[in-house]
Amino acid sequence: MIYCPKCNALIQTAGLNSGSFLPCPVCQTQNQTWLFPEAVNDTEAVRESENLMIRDDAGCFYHPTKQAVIACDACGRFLCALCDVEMDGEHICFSCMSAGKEKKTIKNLENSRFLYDALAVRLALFPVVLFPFWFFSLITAPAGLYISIRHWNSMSSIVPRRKKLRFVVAILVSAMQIAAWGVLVYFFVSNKWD
Amino acid sequence: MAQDPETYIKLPGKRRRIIVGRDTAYLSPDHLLTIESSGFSEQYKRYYFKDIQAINIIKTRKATITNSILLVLMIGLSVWGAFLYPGEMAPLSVFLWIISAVMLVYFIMNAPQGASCEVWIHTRVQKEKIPSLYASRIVNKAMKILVPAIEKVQGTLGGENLKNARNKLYFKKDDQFTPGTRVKIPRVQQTGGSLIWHRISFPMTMISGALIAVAIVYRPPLFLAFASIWMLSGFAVAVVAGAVQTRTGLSGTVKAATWASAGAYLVILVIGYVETVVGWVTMASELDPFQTQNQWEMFKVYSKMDVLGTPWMFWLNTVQASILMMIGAAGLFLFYKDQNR
Repeated sequence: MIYCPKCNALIQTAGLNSGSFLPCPVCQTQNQTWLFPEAVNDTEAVRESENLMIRDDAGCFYHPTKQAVIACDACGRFLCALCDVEMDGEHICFSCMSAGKEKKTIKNLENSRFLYDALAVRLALFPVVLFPFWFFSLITAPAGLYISIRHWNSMSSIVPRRKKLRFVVAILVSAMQIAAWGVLVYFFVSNKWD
Repeated sequence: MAQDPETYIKLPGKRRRIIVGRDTAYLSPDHLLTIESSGFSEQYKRYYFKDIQAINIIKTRKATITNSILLVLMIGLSVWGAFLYPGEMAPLSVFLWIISAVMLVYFIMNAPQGASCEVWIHTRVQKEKIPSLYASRIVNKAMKILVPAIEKVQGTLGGENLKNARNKLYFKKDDQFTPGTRVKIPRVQQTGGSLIWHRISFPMTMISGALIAVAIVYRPPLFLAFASIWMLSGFAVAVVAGAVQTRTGLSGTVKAATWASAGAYLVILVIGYVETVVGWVTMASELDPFQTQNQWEMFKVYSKMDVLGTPWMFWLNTVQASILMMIGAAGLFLFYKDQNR
């Protein structure tokens, strides 16, 4: 059933897949709906694993009484239909899947990432953009430089992104600020001594 | 096994948040990826093409209302600024014109996007909005890419198939499900982020506004010092609340109110800083260097200022106090309304 996102009422069927907007019968919100074959697919996605019938058959690593149907592409363990997880055309077991999620080797299971390049460039540019707070550069510039070097090879976004360019900008801007502080301290000290 | 970043193609549409962060969407060969960025981190959601049952686009009045309010405020503030310009109130009129100019830029950027709309994706187990697709012009472009990508995986539903699907969806149980029937959808509450920062932030914002209002008439140095520390803490709490709210499942309006609160603090703090620098320059002959370098001495100088007798200072403080109190009250109301849903 496809319903209006505003009022949860079933929408009109006349305008399906036509690209035209039709009012919801209840809230009158203009709806355009695109329906796909999955909406009427009754196939139950439940798989049942077969019991091991013959003693010589290979059993599932996790369920020894169940017949193995495939080997895990990552660890090679035999798996029954229940333990087999298909992802991007490969078959893996649950333990490999959870290990992949933990070690972040399966990108399709990641639901968040920290962007060190964004942090570095913001730390470097913060005192430049918000000039009244320029004195914060004493802390932000070394921090931006450290993060750029420390996380040069760390993972960034899973979509294409100019990570290295951001790090280069952060390093250059931070280095300039540190140099400026150096010059300031040098003049202060030399003037005081004179 | 791993998805190569280069296989992702960007879908038209990018929605920027009020202060930091943005929403975008990307297509891979087998799924749609939505990215909710908070500036320093990204949250991902994937919708596999084989699981998508329907896409629903609804028109909203958000753009019309926002643009109308912007237009009225823009004209109102510009005219107000023009009336105040000559004389002692000139700094306030310049401030009002700057706000009008920011609104004008926002208006020029938003107006050509067309009517606002929402795009919802239905799967067997969820109904989710795609935040990056928010305006009709963007949605039209995106749908020309998204619909063929789904149909490539699932096949098309047209002609007789569509008619059968329609009958199967709506009339399979003795006409029980007819268009217009309401269905009960269980609400899935997202958890994971702490709400304590929001509980603290909105009351703090209200109190900050009240402190500014009090400071118009009551200005002992100790009180000014307390108000300054309070406002800096309020800014820090609002920023932390904004940073941790991504996973809290709070509604968009509460999230927007949080960032609006942080933004208001930032603007007020920057104005305060500019005022201080202007004060140093204009009162250079009256102040000795020791006073300008000592915050407590500066509070003593500020305490002697006659805010009530200086029209532009009076209006600036009144506007700042009103904005903070309104944002704080609105945020608190929206937050508790959201919690009681």
